[in-house]
Amino acid sequence: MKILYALHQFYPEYQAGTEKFIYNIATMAQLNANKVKVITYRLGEFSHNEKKSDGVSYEEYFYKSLPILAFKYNQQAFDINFATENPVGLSFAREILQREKPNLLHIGHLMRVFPFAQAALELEIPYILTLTDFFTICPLNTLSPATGSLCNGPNGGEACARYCSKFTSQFIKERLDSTKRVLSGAKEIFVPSTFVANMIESEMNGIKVTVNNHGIRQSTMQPNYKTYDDHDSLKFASIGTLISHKGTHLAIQAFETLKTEHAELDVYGVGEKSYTDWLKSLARKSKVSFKGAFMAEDLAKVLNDIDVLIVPSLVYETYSFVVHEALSAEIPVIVSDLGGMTEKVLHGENSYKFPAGNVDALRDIMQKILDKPSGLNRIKSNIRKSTLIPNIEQEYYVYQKAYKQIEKQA
Amino acid sequence: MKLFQSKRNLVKNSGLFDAQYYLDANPDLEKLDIDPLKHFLETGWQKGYNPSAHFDTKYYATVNADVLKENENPLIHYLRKGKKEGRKALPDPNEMWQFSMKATPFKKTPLLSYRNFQFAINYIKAYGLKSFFNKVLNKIFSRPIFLGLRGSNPVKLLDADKQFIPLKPRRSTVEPYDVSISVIIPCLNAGDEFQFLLKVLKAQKGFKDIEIIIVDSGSTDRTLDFAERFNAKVIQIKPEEFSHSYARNLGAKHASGDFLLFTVQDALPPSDTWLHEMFTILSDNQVAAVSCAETPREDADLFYRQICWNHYNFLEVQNADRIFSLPKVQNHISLRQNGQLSDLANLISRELFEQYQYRLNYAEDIDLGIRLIKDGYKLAFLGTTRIIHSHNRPAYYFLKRGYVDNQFLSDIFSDFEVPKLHIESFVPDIAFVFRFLAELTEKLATLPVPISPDFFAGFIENQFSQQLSRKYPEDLPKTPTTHLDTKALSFFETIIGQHGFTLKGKPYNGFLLQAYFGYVNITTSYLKTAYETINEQLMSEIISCLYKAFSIVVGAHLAYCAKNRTGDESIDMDALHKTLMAGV
Repeated sequence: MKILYALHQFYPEYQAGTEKFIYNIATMAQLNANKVKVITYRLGEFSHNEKKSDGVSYEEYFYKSLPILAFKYNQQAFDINFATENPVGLSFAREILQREKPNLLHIGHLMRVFPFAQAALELEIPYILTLTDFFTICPLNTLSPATGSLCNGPNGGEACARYCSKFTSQFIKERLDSTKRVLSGAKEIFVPSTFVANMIESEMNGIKVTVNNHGIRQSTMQPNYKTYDDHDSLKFASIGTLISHKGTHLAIQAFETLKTEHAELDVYGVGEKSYTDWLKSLARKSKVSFKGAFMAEDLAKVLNDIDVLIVPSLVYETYSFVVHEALSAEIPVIVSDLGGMTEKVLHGENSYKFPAGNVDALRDIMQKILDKPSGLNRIKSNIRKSTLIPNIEQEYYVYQKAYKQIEKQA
Repeated sequence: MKLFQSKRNLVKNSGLFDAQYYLDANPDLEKLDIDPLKHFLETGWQKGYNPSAHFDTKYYATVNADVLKENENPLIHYLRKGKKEGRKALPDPNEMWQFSMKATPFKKTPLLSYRNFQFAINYIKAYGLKSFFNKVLNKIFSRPIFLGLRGSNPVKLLDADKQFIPLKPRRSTVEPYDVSISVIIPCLNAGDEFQFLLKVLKAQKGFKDIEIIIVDSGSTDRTLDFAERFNAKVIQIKPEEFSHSYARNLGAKHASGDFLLFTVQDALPPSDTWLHEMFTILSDNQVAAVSCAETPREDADLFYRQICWNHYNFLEVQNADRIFSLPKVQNHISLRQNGQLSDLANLISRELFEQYQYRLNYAEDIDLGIRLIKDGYKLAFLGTTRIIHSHNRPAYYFLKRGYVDNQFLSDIFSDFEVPKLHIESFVPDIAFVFRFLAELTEKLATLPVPISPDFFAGFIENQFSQQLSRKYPEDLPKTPTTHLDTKALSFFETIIGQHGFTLKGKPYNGFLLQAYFGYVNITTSYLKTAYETINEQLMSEIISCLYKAFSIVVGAHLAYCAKNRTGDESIDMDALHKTLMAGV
């Protein structure tokens, strides 16, 4: 079976969650004797090997074992990140699909590759979608109209008119119609969490989605077997892009007000310079360390060096790889009570959650843990016994069943 | 017209025409939308197409000179005269080895050449006249040479009513069964991921109770801690007490569940409804036991993947679920193709298992499956439901695996024909192919990539063809390979160094090259199926794969040498046997 994967951006140019997900799934499909290719958009420059098509340039290369086709418009429109339809893109998508002749197209994110879904529909090539964020219902993807505010969905465009006035009602309506057509034409739609499923299903009447949690690369994980007594020092950590809506400042602010000397905070990640500078100015205690970025293969080492992970996001996380990787490594997490990352967290049982943005609540949880570090033993034991995070083979297995079913129907 | 109708009725009523088989074997016909029987009677027989798995058109025409001379449809001849006269409809399956791949023959050499004459003499010496005769038939009719391993099309069942389980839509709900399951896992240092397996097993939905029984033969890692955490029943045995059958039978004795699931410490159910899917098949299809295929881990190497792919082609479960029953024609191929159970996942009622139990210390799962079908039971083997499992094992393991597998085959199946190979002539053969492999992989490493799998297959075939005119080597390759593990490298260097140059300078007349070519065809077929382009990373995997394939083929042939031993060998065959049997 030949499967094309499409998404808005890919390795090595970008390395966020959706890229990781498509890399994992496409690699697993290849291991299972399927011919695969990843179609993606290139925001940056090509190397010298690009080819030209009508209004589009593209380059083909390998990322590890995966063949990649990256394209970009010769005239890149201002709305590249939120528009859906694009005649030049549609013509290119038709050309590529007719050339590649896939049995199936699996789209990991519709941004910039939306025309591939339209072309597949037109050419009667079966496709499935995995919605890793809210692109289909929100032009901003995040359902966050401004820093510190969240929306419950477009409600047919009414909420957009109220909170995101830069988009016209007409635009929102047409965009929702367009995405709904593509959703309706999909053989199957998957989402990584129940939270995303509810958001999509409540907005898109009649669309049914299946929850398939993202899997963790178990071969790179090492469970943290550490046990604690009440005299132990603890190391908290925050891991992620340093950008205001990820809320790293909350972790530092909470840490700064803790009443103990037996704690450290490691901040992993890089991001916006002004935000990073501000974070550094907040960190007055010497026990806050800015560790910078780390390679994916060093994740297990990082997780083995910490005791508790803090993920204080101020926007909906549709899944959060790092939360699930930490739980998979038996590291308790403290997460803001938003979106899909809380679904495996039972507060006080296998981890903790706090009201998003509430620094006092976060500090109280951290202080409670520090007052009795041995309490982590029970939390870790509960993670071990009952918190089930799938691995990437298990995640792929669900897709494989869907692929086979579609192949059979074809 | 009347004559045609009469032939049509004759064939139709004979039971020797299987329309589905005919279409499966000749997929181009489906596009023509033609009546398969009409096609066979008009043109198919002239092209040598078989009407079913029970009649070999080319074979019949060739062994019966009168049929060939009269240019008569062989099947019509058989039905009108041949059957009464006791003529055979099928050749003996003595060339059908253990694998399902079609090898493409070397194309470069003319049939009537000195080289082929030499090859023929040696082939007859090793495999016997009957095997040689079948081989010539295949060559004359340009069919693939079934020497060793076969191509991407699965071998047709020799004689069985194939029964497939219809693919059902996935169920969104899990209806609970009022039964309990005991999961039996033999363990030895199961590693950190074992905890995850226990968690996933405990999370299986749809049963009254899931009991886990660990039969541990001396773990020194966290295996027993994990077992305790998940309230598993632990039975400890001494390492020297372990055998595959003993450990599993002992676990079953301690089981209290209505049904037993035998699995292994490094296999992982892919979902929390996996066991329910297995049980549903068992319960809906009245089968005695159900097993499933494996799906690879994310770090599975190319060699392991191609072995699994090939094996499931052989079992015809690549994209299907099958029900096995006793085939009408029984030989080591048809029995293995229809009696397969797998220890990776074998679900069976406790009551039935208690009657049979496992026996043997190797291939105990296949043995159990064959005993069950021989007693009239049906089994299910699932290809659409799978268990996550794979290994990245070194070439040395596969050397031993090839040896042990073929020891087992000849021990358990009376019809398994052991080629008449002798160690004295075989070790120079190893030296010859080992030298070739070193040269080949050096060329592959510097081949400009990307290339297509088709180009790769052609390149490989060409390289093999060139070897036929070469002489036996005088020494080991100058540059030791980095693609073999140290144990395998040491084994090959030692055995070749001590006994590999007795034929140095003489023209090559061995068998290993051809057998190895057959195995390499699995690789090229797999590559054509799974890839459009070979890049640098894949090429590196292919090179490792070629060494592992070499090792398994050498292991298999060493097993034949061991079976043919006379006691006069200059090599210590007891020591060799002990080395190659250890630890598999």
